Amino acid sequence: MQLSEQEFLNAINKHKGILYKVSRMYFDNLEDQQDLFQEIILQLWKSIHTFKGSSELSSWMYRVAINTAIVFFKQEKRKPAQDTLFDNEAIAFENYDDHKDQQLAHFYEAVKKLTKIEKAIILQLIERFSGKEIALNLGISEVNVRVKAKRTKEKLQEIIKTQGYEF
Amino acid sequence: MNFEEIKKKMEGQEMNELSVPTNIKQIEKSKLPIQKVRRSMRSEIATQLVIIVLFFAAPFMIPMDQLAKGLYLILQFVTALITLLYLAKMTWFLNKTSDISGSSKDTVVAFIYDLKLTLEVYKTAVIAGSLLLPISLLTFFLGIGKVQLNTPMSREDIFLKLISLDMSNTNLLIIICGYLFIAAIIYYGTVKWADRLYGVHVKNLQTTLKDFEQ
Repeated sequence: MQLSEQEFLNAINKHKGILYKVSRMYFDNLEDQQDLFQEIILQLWKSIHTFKGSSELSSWMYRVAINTAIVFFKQEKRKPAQDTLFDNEAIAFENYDDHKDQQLAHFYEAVKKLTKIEKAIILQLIERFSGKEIALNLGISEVNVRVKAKRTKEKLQEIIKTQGYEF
Repeated sequence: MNFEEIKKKMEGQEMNELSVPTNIKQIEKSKLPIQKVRRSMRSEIATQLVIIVLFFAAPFMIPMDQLAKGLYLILQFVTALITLLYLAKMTWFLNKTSDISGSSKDTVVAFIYDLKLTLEVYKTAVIAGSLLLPISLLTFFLGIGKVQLNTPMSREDIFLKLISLDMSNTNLLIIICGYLFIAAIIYYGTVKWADRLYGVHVKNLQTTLKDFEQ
């Protein structure tokens, strides 16, 4: 697909929720999120010519965004200590002012413990991608997706439980 | 776990902190590992080009025996030719863009492949460009009279003896062994240096690739 820079940026603005969700899912730190967010835009721009229009633009953007997140590594100097993953105090410091948002806070805190591939699976499950679509996007078999999805959901629930929360 | 509810909450969050630029140029350079490695290598290529020019200019700035100067320039020419050929190849290679729109597993595999290939070309370029360096340097320092040998022979005679390998078998063996030792150090040093600087990115991606298979 050939898009002018302005058309491309308009499309990004329209679907920026995808980029935001992927960035938030993969990184906790705002600077890292911003870096990933920008990197995704850059990679989408570089790859836009490969979009053939056979699928929704949003689905294609999801795939490129997740691929970018998978091969993107945070800046070493900002790398947080891995041991703080279960630190419940960290959750309290986040900007979740409403009680009902505690669920999301616990979810994001638990997600930090997942691998990049597990994050990709959970994100696509949240977006209600079918097993076939997830398999196609990740490049693994549907059976493998099913097994991984089940295992990852269980792992996520287990982590959330250890945070003293359940949903 | 109710993903529908989580989705709603995710979408309900403020997105003001992450902004879309008004033009692509506003985005900083790519921070993907492969791009970071390629950028570092580009600056190293520029440094190597400066070094080549300086090495070529040295005998014209420092007085040197004519014979040593001739040999030094020939050696430098060969070194420069090898290095420039590799650099030309690397410049083409470093400008190659990686496709990121395929499946995630294919993307990771392609990134690992590109990174490893980049590293191998880099290592070969550095090693090939450095192997004549010990001889060049020896020639240079003999030529400017910095290396004094305990012999009544003139510097030119010593030089002629050295380049015609007019010496005892024991001395020849010592020189060959010495050269091989220096070459091994250059090889080992380059491999270690490249792996230390860039190998971490390959390791990270390999760990991610393993996650697909688990």
